[in-house]
Amino acid sequence: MKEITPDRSDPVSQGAVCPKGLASAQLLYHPDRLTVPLIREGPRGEGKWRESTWDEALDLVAEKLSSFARESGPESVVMARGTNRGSWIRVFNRFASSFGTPNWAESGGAQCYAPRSLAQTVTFGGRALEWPDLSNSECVLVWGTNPPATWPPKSRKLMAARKRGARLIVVDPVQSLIASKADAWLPVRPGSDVALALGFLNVIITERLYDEEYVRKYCIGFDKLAQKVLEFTPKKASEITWVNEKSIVEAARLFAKTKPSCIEVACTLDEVIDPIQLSRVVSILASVTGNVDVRGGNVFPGSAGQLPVDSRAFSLPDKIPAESKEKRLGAELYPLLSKNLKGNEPMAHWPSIIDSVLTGKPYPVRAMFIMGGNPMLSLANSGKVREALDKLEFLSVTDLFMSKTAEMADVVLPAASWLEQDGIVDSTQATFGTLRVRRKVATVGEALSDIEIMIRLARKLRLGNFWDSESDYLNYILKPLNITFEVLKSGNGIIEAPVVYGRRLEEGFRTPSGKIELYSSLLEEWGYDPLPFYEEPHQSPYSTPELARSYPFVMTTGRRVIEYFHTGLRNIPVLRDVAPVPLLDINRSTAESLGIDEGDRVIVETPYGSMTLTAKPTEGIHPKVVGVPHGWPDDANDNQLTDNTTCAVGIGTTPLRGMLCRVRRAP
Amino acid sequence: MKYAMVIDLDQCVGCETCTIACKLDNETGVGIKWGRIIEAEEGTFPDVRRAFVPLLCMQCEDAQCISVCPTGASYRNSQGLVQIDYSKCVGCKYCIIACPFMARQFNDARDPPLGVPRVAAGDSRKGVVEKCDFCSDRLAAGREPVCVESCPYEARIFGDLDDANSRVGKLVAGAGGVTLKPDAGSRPSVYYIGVR
Repeated sequence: MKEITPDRSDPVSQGAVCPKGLASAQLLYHPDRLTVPLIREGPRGEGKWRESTWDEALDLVAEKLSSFARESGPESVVMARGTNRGSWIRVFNRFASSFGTPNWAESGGAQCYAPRSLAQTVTFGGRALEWPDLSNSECVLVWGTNPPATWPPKSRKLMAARKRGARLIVVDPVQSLIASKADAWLPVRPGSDVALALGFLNVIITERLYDEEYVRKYCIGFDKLAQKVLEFTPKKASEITWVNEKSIVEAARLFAKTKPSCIEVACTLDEVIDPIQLSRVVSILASVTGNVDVRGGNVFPGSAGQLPVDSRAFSLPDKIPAESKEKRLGAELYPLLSKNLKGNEPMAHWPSIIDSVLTGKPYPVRAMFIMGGNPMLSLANSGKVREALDKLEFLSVTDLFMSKTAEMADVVLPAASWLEQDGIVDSTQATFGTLRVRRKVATVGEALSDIEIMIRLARKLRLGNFWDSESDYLNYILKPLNITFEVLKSGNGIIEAPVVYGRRLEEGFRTPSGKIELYSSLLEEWGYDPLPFYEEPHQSPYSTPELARSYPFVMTTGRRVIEYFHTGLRNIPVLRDVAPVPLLDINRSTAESLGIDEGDRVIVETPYGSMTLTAKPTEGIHPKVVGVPHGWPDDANDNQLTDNTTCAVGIGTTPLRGMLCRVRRAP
Repeated sequence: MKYAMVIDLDQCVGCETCTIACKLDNETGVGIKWGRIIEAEEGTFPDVRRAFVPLLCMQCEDAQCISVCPTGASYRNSQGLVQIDYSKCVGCKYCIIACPFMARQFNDARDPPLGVPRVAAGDSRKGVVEKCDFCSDRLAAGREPVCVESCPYEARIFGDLDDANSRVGKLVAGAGGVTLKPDAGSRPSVYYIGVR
């Protein structure tokens, strides 16, 4: 593997290749790649390892995990993964269920996708917000995401729409790359997004800019919604969100009057204290303006490009013993995440897992099997996470490099990168619904794909329900399409999925009423407010004025740059050279008043901890707001600032946007 | 034949894909960027405008870097491109001062941060001055410069300005392409359109 070049004829990327992809040779042949299994020698975290064979390492993992299951029940073993693109998510969940633990978790989940998936499911019975039909839209509302830095192929479509005259509205506390290109930029106070959306709805409903015919035919609960948003006048929305009133009114009019309009969202919707309300109210915005399931609006992904696999059935939830299933951590407090409701595959709640390790209540978690994730940096309140991992009786981590989490492990298993494995990618998010083949092009040391590792471990654990080899697995999931992996691979490896418009308008939406439920019967049934409401962030100048005296700035975490993916890739030469340090977005006059110059080292503090980074003064942020990036290790880890004790009602999200902090120059 | 590049500032989102593709293709060392993007900010919050301006060697027709070079290391090659012969460069840096566009950098083989490996090829140019050469090797092989090929937005267009029917020729004439610092009198071959 020497170089990766863009392919303009590719139906998904159209040649928009992310620099992370371009730099993949530096990842593949990185001298620090893990190439053999390692077993800890000496105290945890000291860094003394001995190389082992796969057999020895997997025997040890299998023996440990099964002994804890025998002694304390399978629920005493947590299986956790990071984010993923590809088809191994299903295999991971199947592995956890087959082992018998209800406690599988992911660093995303409540922080990414689970809330907005649930909110969209109860509202329009599908996930239309995930699929803005950019190529046919006349107005795009980008809510809290920055596609040029996070998703080049999608960003290319967005910029092409703009070039042919589509209007662009961007909601973001920071004037991001995409906000710099917008017709309207709305610098919302972090965490107050719901109030902004309710303000939009107020303008749209009181000025009768909504689509009356669409609402009458396809929505229910409009009158109750209209009543609810009355109080959110643009003036009130402006006071709460710090966006000026005129901008709110003009943006709401632009979005509602231009047709078709669509909305582009990402995990920012999930990272606030009220994530379900936020995804609900944004879904409602698309609905009342008549932009759901129409060309150029937000549409439902076609299924042709997805494997005809029922993910829930595939993960074999019935293999979890009934008495263990009852014990999923977090289920009592966060049923929307952890119980088997519509919308998500139920998972355990990370902060509840951490508490269980530390307190032994309601029962002790004794071991973890972590794959493709880095909880030491990914989860809120890193100090507590470290304490918990340190307390575990056994930890197995699978990764490409010796991550901060792998450093804490008893066994480290070397994973293959995307270039070192055959596979199928059929995530609607990653490939716009197109099914793609991934071909193995290289081998590094003894590294194995995650799926191969699970297949081997399943054999040692005698789990059944697994395959003899990875290629058997690929053929198994392709079977319903009557094609083998070899045949698929020998062609162009693509199965395209054309978008179908208006099917739900015709057949009915997949909600209890068959309509778009502005007033949600499911939320009501589950005991939650059926109408969207605004909740002030748990820490803010208004909800905690006392705290705000010592921590005067409102902070947003998690800002992404194109060079990195979550906690990874800081060790890739070309990427690190272009993004050498973590940057603090801070208003120019604020920086000046604090004696901070561009490039100065600065310390950001919250009641939970501090992080050190480099100042980037800009006029593209409110004087009382600062933005910090996510994913850097050690003293630049933003999760040293975050809290995991206050979680979103019902779904357990730890708020990462809209906290209080203070800033000073590093001595 | 006169190679030229047109950059559409309206389509440039400042994503740095070109910067990274350039560093990969030319195997440059720590801190060396033959192509880069500067961010220009105007106004005060919330009425702020932000533009991204990609910079590279402008391939000037009156290249002051060539005239100040005491050893002949900077020269114009057979493709008409301003080039550096590293074997002749003594690292005097006159050209760095002469260039109106800060397109040149001296390679001091800086260390990467802890945990980041070195790029050997970048270090091999220690002690000389480096810059973009419109990817002359790729041009010779019939490919486009790597920043043009890798731009997700096709914001860079490359071609022969002498050919009135080429896309660059039409864009410079039709879309009002401008060059940077015309007062410097160097007559650059990089044009910008979509300037707001």
